[in-house]
Amino acid sequence: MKKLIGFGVLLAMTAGVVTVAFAAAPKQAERMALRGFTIEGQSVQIPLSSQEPLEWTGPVTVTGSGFTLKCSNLKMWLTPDGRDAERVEASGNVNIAGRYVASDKTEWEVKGQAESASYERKAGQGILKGSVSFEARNLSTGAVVSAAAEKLTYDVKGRRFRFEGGERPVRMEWQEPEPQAGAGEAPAEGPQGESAK
Amino acid sequence: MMWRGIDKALLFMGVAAALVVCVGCGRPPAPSAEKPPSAEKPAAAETPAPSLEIEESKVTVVDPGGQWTFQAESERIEARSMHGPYTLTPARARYEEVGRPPALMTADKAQIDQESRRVVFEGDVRISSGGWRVEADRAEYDLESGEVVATGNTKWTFSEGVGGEGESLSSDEAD
Repeated sequence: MKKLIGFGVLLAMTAGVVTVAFAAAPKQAERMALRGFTIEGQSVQIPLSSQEPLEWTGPVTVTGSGFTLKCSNLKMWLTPDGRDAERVEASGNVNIAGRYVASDKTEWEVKGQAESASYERKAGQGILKGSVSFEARNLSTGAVVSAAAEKLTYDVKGRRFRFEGGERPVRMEWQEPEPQAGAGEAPAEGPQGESAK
Repeated sequence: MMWRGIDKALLFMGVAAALVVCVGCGRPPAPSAEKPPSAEKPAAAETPAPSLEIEESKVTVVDPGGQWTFQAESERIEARSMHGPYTLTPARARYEEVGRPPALMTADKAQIDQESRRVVFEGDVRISSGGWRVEADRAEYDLESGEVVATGNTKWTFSEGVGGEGESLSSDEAD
């Protein structure tokens, strides 16, 4: 039971990471979802007179909404008015880290890795690809949930997510914190996260 | 009286300005009534160079196709010769293209080279347009490709109200 709950929590958090890292909350996605985000890199190519994407070369660091994404290369297609991102592609040692507040208000420290990440505004999808791994630690209980897969797709509008294992099956683990000496009660059970669909 | 406090280089440019020097191909050619502009696209090697004009404290570069203009201004403009390159210290510039939000650029220095068709911005470079702003140590703008490459401590930020419509070149918006 705990594993199922943990899996649900993990999925909720990974979904949150993908969403927050590139699209912020669904309500904000409609208008300037990336407001306040900063992108730092060694160089950036800005095509003023074409529809080509902006391109950062690394190391690249994206910061916003309490999350940090690091990668080697980042491409971004802006909306025609230049106020938002139509599509974002991150590649090369993609690392995501930050804090996530689940729907039940529990706080989690999340770390994630993948070979690439992308977000498409119109499709409302965030995708992590290539040796995807996630680890999330409950800041209240110390419980840790982790998963490994080949691909993670999150549907922002439908709040649906899917892990795909590729050649290897999706692996997930749930670790309860070690009970401390003298502690009378077992740690509280994990929060009731959203269940996988 | 008008030139008080301005060095020789600026005086030189003042003379040049008085003459309204036009370098390059002049105004973009009017489209032929017989041949639509898109009917025969010139080969890359035959693409006419953007025209460059200097008037008072402004340097204007115009796309031969009439799609965009780039205008830079400064209190101090120096030139090696009548054909440039032109050095603006400091520099404020504005890029405008049909159907796109304008881009504002500021830097400690900018050099406009008609021969290489490049503009190099150096020192505290800031470029903003639409809802974004980028800071960098250096930026190189290719007048032909329309691409800017910003390097050195680049920091890109999304925020409301930068590089907005209707802002004049003289405004300090990009600061």
